[in-house]
Amino acid sequence: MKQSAILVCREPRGARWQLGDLPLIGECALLGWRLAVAPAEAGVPAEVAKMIAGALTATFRVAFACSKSLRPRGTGWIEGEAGDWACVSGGGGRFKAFWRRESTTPVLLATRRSEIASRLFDDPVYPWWLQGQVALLWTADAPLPAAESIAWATLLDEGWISRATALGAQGAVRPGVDGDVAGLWVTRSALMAQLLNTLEERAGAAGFAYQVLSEEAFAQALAADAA
Amino acid sequence: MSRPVQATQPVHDAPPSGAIPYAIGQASTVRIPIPGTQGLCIELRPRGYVPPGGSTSTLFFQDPSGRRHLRLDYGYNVRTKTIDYHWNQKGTNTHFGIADHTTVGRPGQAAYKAAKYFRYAGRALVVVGVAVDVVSIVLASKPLRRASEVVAGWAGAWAGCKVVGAGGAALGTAATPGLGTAIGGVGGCIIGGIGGYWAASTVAGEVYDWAEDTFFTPLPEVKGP
Repeated sequence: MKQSAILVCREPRGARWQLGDLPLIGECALLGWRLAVAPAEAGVPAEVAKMIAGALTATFRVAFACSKSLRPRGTGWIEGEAGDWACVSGGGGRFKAFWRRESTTPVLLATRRSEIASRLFDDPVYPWWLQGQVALLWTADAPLPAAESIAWATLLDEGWISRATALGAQGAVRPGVDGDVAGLWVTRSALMAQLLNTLEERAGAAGFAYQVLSEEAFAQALAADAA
Repeated sequence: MSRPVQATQPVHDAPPSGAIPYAIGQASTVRIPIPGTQGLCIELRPRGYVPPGGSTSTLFFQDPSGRRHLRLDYGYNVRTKTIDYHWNQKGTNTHFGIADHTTVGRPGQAAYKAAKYFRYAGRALVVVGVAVDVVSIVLASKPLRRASEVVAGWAGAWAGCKVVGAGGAALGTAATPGLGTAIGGVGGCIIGGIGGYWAASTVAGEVYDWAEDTFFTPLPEVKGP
């Protein structure tokens, strides 16, 4: 039996991963996973979601769109039990939102609780598997941007990293092709090292192997999952 | 040899009807139920946010939230390491027996493209159907009667699509889970929609005529015993 593994590619450049325009600043990585028994289901397996969310929240405050929430009353970020909530702009225009059955004011939740952050992989309104989700990362001491400055839909577009940078984010995570991989971007190499070290520790604790691979080996490892 | 003289008769114009374009087009907008799947329906649009460029999938069997879904997709397939047409699924494997990333052949490609174009063409047909029906109301000698027929026709088309579409989807699933489901469901929806439109508008016309010809005559008042 194969061992379950967390797969990391440090230099993803191929368009096949559907990560949009990758920046010249900061560092990117591609995260993947392989289970001992190949899953028949799409999406991020629960144990992998828990691991990635745990690694992200150990270093960052994670802000993502969340449908399981009470719409906060008032403007700006509002403190709650799960984290800080804010209504932000949909960013796509009212007609487009109506046509696509989307909210004009998505709710963002910024949290450091891993069990809350793991929801970002399984929210049907912002589906990870349809690449309709993105998480912005801030270190604990960094201020959150003004809620009204966040145009949600633009973060799902090609230039997601430049828009995240404009919001002062120190990193971002978004789904790659079919949600089978996660694209990770951070502004500084020290942050990337810290995050990947935490991920490696958590993978080991969960009985997963941790493999850093070239882009081709990464693709091969994902394909081998089905064999 | 002289041609026979044909008698000419005045012909009454039948009222224009948007039944056909409306019933065909609505198959792209109505959620067509798939029996025995705990709420999955056939749709041509995803549920939830997608990137501004749109989804790369065109045919969806999904529950109202979109969490459980089977969708026909085109793009990079991590299992085959190629760009191909394939199914993606979550929570539907027990109903269709189709695993995530299962590739499809030429029929699947044809279904993907048909769904892609029908999504827009269907909406255009609905608009054409509604426009023709509205014109028929304006031109009718009895606009109220015609309006009753039209509104009943739309409702009948919707109901017929749901009922016959569900039957078609069930038959299609039994034959070929996935593609058969889509073909049976959409085909049934169109047939049921046309039949439902025709039946409902006919009944509405009859009811209108019956109501119009009904008079209520007051009874003479008599003293009580």
